[in-house]
Amino acid sequence: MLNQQINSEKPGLVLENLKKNQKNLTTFRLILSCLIGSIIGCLKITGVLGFLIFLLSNILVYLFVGFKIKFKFENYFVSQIQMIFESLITSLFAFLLFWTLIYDYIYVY
Amino acid sequence: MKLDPQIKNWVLFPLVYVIFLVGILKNYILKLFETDPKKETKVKEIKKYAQKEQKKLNENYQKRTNNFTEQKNNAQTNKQETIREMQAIQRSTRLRLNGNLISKESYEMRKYYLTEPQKGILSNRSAQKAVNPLFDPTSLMPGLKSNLSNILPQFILMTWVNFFFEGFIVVKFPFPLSDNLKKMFQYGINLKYLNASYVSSLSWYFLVFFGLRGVVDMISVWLDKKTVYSYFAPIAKIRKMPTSTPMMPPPVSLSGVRDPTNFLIAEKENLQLYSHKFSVADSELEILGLKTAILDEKEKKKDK
Repeated sequence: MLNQQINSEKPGLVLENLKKNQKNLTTFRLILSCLIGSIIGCLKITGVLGFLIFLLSNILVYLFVGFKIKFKFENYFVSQIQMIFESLITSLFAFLLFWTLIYDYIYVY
Repeated sequence: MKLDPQIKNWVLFPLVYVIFLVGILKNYILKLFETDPKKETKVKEIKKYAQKEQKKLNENYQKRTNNFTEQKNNAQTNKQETIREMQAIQRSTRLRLNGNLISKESYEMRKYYLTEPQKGILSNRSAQKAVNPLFDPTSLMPGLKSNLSNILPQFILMTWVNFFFEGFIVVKFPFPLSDNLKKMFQYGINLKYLNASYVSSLSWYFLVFFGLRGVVDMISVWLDKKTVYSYFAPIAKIRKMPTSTPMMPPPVSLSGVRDPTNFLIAEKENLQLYSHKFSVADSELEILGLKTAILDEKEKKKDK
């Protein structure tokens, strides 16, 4: 019973499912940012363009998830803002790491 | 400018490798600490306790049927009282969580039953017995453990990097950095005209540390799916108020006896602060599609 408590603000939503959504989104973001970082490193892209591509990828994530749930973010996440900023910093650092690593491995050394 | 490939083999990749492995090792060590011998035996204890209680209850029932005047065991009544109080707390939490689905009248009735200052179940015990949880040393241990396990490996790794790889130019960032940041990112390298995007080993360590944190956490969750979302804590922070109370065990006082008095008081306050709003008041009208029409009429009347 305790695991399936209904939220007071949003009746009908189960906390476990919200957590699961959040977890899946985090995993998706992390893997995507690692891949994009590696690809950008291979393509010898430097400077602001790399960050722009990262931003673009996150906007794409937002749109993909949005289309999937028909832009009713309140029904699947705590809020829309929370969905946008969920694990953004973590994935940004992962992106930077892979970008730098691959770029240096191929072009600097 | 090209860097020496020896640096790549002996500094760049080993750092990534070591930090990754330390991250996963830390996860396992934390798990070792978490699996308290107490926790494992707890289930058995509870089962034994339940069986004992069942036996006692049966015996008591027989005794009572035989002899109505026999008095109850004092200790047992105490236990029963604790259980009753815990049930009351759970009940109150449920009321707070789902109270919006019942009408104002029934909500107030339940609230009165629970929080009435003299007769209410939540206010049965006197507040004098409450122990401040801050003075309870057992509640501080888990926080201390997690803090130590976070800081200690980081400290050791930083000393290691600083000691062995000081003054190395390890990495060139693929993005430009301003020259003002040279002191921070090129710590230990005193070259005046070196481009700021060439960076020392310590900065590379920090980038790897922060970059791999998410990856390590993802992998450790994948390795053991029983560690439920250790990293995905923010949602718990947001929802702490309504959900934490029933999940947590009752506070253990210094004497080692479980004492739910604090919880009773806290729960009572929570319930008194909770503002009730009947969320399905207009459901019939909404189903019929009349709600908006009625509102429109009201607005028209107001306008007139």
